[in-house]
Amino acid sequence: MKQLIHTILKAGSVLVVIAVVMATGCQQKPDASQHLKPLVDKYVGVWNNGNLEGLDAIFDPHFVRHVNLSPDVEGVDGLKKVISGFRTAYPDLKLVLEDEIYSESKSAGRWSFTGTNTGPGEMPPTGKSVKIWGLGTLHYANGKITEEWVGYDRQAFMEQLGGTMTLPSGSK
Amino acid sequence: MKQLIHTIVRAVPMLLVITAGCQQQPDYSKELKPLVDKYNAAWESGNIEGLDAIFDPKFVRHSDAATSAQGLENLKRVIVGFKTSYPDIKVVSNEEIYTENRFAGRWTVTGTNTGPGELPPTGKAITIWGINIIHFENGKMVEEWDSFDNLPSMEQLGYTMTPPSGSK
Repeated sequence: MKQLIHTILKAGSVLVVIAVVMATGCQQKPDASQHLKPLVDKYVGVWNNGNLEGLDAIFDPHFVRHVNLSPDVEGVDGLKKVISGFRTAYPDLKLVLEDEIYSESKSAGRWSFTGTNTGPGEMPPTGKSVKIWGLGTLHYANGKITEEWVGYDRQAFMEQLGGTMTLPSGSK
Repeated sequence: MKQLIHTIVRAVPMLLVITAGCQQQPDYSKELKPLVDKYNAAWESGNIEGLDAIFDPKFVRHSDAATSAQGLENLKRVIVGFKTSYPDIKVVSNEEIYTENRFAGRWTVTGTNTGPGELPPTGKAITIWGINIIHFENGKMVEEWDSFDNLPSMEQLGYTMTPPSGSK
């Protein structure tokens, strides 16, 4: 009888150990958005509030940004120049995240950009308002953003600013 | 004694529930990647047969003016039109992210404009890359957002963009 109780107790403790292991194992597989989303939100926040120092904590020093077919932007300092350039040319800019996808070490998102071109930039200010959308992916390592890919239609962007596309003379 | 056994026996279903809940996050690519691959293949081959099986009829594609589409039938027209203008089109998938009912990808398209389109063919080759996000419902694609920079590809085709002159 004693032995039976002993066996049952032993079996019970094994079950408890299994339960604990299982529960711990569960915690190691969190929803990826839980650890990546705060970084994305902070990044989008900096575009909107211009607090560039906030970028140092969330970007890897070797960060690389690829936008369309433009030359790559390298390092956090390069990124800061891009953001401050946009904020100068579009002082009222608003960047809104419209869709978000998270996996273990990558995320993707759709954003919309609105702003009025009242400040100097690559071109003299046009005074025009633009509203465009685009998509981006971010890569992460060790809790920091290491790489960004951004695509948006620069033709639409330029046309909203008053640029004009000229047809080719045409070959056959 | 009986009670003890009873307690342990009652604990077993609970453990099973915990264990089931503990299964790793499902690999969503298993379900979604075959659909994405089929879609990319359709762009490359221009073969629109079989798209009915992977698209919701009310599918909407948001992209640039030339390749946006309302409804699956319009999407088919866009795919066939692109294949006609760029018969040697190649689609390469550079990056894929899968989660529940959603996919994001980065792609590169190359092609030579040797066929008719909105304009007579220029004979020029283009390379563009972009990012797309696809939403799924009941195992079918219902919505796509696809962004890429149209400007360099238009310039590669011989167009020129005259920038705005400024307000002053």
